[in-house]
Amino acid sequence: MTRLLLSLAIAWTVAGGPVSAQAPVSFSGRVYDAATKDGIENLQVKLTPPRQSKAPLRLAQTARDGTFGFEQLARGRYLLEVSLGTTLLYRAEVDAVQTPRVDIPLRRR
Amino acid sequence: MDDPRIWLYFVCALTGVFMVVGGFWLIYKEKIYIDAESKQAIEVATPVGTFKNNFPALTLFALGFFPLVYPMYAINDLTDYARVETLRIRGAVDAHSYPALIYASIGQDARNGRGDFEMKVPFVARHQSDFKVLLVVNGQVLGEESARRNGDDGEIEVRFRPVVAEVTPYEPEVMPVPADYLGGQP
Repeated sequence: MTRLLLSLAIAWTVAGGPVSAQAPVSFSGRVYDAATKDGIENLQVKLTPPRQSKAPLRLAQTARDGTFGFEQLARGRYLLEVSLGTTLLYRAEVDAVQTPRVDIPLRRR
Repeated sequence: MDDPRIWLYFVCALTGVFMVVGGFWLIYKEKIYIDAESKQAIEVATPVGTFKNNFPALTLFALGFFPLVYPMYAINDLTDYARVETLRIRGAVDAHSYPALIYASIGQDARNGRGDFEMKVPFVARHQSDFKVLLVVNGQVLGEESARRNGDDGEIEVRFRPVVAEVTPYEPEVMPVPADYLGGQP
């Protein structure tokens, strides 16, 4: 029985373990007005991996309802930045695995 | 040209020029004679003919090469004198459909909104290309000026067109960039 469990564990590690560890993930979110809850469109969203990572920089733009999404994203931490033109509105560090979706409320001045 | 030692090299090279040119002239005019009694230049008989020559003028011509050429080598070893060398920065870009311009920069200065800027950059000879000065705001290039040196005062003045950005209606919520995201090679 012990031998069987050990064999199953090894088989899982060889077949499924490493593959799932490297599998890309999806990351999405929504930027909205904190007062009205309306989405904000045409914002630039940038995901920057840490400098020791070889993952590419990812860019997106918010849709009419304020949503944005990234597919086939390498697992790991990213610096999430949201800009409106030349003004940086939001910056935070996110983990694409632990937090695959973020809601970003922006308060009016 | 601020270093006074450069002028010494200049005088040295100028002396060499005089000696070489003077040597030519004396050889041409046969003004210096090896034989003071006869006041004759040396005559060398060869199978193809007889050649007249005067060695003092030839020696003057040959010796002039040393002070002429020496400063060209020695000037690069002056302390604090800018020795311009060419470096190559190579790499690859994978930016998909975005037009990508790659710049190499050694100097940068940051201003919060407005103010005068100043940065030191390596000396570049006149015949080489001009500096290109970029105004980058939040990663976007808003100004691009070609900086040409006009005088010899070692300064280049660049005036960017003013940028007026509309104030966004939202309050920025920006955390500082963590250390492991800052620029540089990993």
